[in-house]
Amino acid sequence: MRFVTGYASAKAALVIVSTLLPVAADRASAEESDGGNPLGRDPEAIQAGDELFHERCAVCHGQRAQGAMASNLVRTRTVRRGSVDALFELIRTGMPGTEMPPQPDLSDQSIWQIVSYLRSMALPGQQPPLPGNVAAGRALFESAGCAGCHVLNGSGGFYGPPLDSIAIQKTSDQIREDVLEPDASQAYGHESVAVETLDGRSVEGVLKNEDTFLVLVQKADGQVEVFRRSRLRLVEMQSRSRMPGDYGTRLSGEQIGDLLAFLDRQRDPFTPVVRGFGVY
Amino acid sequence: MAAPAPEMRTLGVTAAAAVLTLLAFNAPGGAQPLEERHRNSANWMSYDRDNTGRRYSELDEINRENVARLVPKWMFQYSPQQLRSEATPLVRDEVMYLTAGGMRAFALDPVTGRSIWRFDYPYTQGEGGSNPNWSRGFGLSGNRLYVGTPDCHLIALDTRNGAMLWRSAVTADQPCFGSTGAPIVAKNRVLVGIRGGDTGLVRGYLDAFNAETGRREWRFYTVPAPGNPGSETWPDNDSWKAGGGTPWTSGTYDPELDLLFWPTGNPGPKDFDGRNREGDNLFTATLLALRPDDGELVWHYQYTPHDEHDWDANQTPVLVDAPWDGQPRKLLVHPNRNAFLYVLDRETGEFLRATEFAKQNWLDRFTPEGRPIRKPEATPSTTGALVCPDIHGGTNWQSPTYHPGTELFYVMSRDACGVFFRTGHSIDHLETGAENFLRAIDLESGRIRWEIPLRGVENREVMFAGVMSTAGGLVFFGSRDGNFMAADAATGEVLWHFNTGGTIRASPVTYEANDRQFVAITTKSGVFAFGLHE
Repeated sequence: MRFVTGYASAKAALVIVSTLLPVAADRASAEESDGGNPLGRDPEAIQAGDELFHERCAVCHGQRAQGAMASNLVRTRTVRRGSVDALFELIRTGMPGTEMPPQPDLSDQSIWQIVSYLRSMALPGQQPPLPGNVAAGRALFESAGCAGCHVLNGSGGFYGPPLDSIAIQKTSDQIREDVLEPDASQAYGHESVAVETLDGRSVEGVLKNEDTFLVLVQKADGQVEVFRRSRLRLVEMQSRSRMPGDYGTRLSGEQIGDLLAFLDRQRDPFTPVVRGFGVY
Repeated sequence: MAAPAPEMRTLGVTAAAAVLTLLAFNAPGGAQPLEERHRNSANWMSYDRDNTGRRYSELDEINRENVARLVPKWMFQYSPQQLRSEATPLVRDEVMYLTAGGMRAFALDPVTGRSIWRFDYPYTQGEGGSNPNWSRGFGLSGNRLYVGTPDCHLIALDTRNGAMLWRSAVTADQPCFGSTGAPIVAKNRVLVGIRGGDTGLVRGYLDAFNAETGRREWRFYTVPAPGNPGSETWPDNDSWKAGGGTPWTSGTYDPELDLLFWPTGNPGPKDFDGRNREGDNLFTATLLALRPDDGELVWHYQYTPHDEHDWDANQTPVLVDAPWDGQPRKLLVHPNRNAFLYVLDRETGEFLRATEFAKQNWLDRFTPEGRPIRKPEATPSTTGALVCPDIHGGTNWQSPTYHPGTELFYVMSRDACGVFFRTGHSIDHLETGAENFLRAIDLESGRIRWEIPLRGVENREVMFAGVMSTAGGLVFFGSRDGNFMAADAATGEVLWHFNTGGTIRASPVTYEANDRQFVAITTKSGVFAFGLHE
């Protein structure tokens, strides 16, 4: 479903009135509270925090802190907006009376690393947008073929995920990797799949759903074909994304910078996150 | 099918068979010992139907020949709708009783799904206690329904109108994490345990309450205090006070032997780092055989001494009477989270056999007495040990089933590995692969007869959907992706499936109402009931 232009404009107005200001306030408080963390957003600290999180926290909070048995930390107010000192203390002492344990054996350095990691996870889009020629990036988005597969601002294709809020879902580094190395990680719900039926027909597309009995494949023409596994000879997840992998060579460094500057400004907080199917 | 008008049927006609509940029925040679109150196959009166843990029904109107004609008859959605449930509904005398998270309960007409009463427990989330979505259902005796609550109470409701008859504390001088297992009623006592063993804050216990008065009659601590039997398996420190071993699922009962069988959870205070609790840590990850009259421990078998993988043992102890080495024997069959299917003599606790039913790499060997010897490299470490099964185990709390006709044991099984650190655990199934199966295991040989792989990305995650078997030659089972399925119990051929549209974290039941067989399953936000298309 897409919004018609008139509604999109109304929506944009509403964003300005009711949302941008709080977001800006968030940013200020986040930057301010980040200041208490001696490691800040140091990439090595984030990496070390990622590893510690994976080891100690992921079993309850999910592999990317996005929730499992325990809460989704990426969306938790304490993580997003609270002071880093409070976050530090929460990790150190746990939450008495709940299943959140204390971490008495972690050094201060290790806890700050986890804080750095969580803040980096929780706050994409709250850093200043990348510099670059945004108008040129917008033009490239159309001329280089991006719009053929991605919806943005009310129009575009369907094969890839919509991008209106991409820069509040991903950091600029992650967006850069998605553009230059699309095979490195395929968007959930947009993964490439190839199937072959028992009568020899081959179909390629993106996997929209699957269970014990069915495989649902969306093809390049937009049609979703529903296959019974019992009538398939082969179901193969493909490591190659449907997205072209040659933007790094097809575009100049300046053009890529402009495109990324444009994408890093796509921070519409009203655009729903389009999820993959596996969210029961 | 147009169901007959409800007024043509009489609901709840034989409400109080309390006297019968007291009478243990001594079955003739070889047959399953069963309390008389469980003999009416139209009913489903206990978590796994009849306190044997077999989750098997004699109903056969729905069978291999006609199961393809199974259609939904009704669905009931919880109110408020955001409730979730892992509950097994109970059915007696044409009334269904259903809990939704220990916070709400409903009585329904099992033919039409229309509610008869609704009970709201006055409890606000955020007061501590457990996730209110994890209740697994009622216990039932006479005109009383029993359920554990998120705030650590056992409550009794009147079957006829949902009125609360009494409320008894299931608490101790420690934090409360709720009671989520469906209570079991045996010899006019209600048995209920607690959860929270992973918190490092509790010491487990099983409580027995008088079914009529709600007075607590005994408590069995699953971690003994210093000086008591079993305490020699704990070090001379305070770790026993947070030793875990919570019995958070349902047990089973053999009226002939007059023994309760109850499994316990993993040890604490730390799940993955046992350095502060050297020793076997009895009675954690253990099967307890207890006297229902006073909680006396008659025998025990510890599946995973000094568990450091959070494997616990909270799977159903299934009571099976079958030949063993040519002689009839009273067996206890237990598919354990550590990936082994155990067969014990339930009279003595003697270890008879353990066979691998899911992927594992932790066992070096069993001693002749049945003590497992763990490989040193399976111990969680600071750098991480890749161990199978992963934290979710070869199976989990969902029910298995035993079919006396096929003599097969059916268990939802998981092949997966994880990296265990002393400080935690990560599930790296995207790298190492993970898959769930329904497996049929030949009880005599311990070999897997057939398996049904559950396919798709969603089904690689932890599975809490259980299994039921029927005299119709069928096994019914669910899966995480919301499919509810029926397979030929002998061959494993999937004969029917239905997409319920929400994840299934519960085990199926079957019952008879209005002279028709129904099959029901709890799903994400309600219950589906199926019957034959007419």
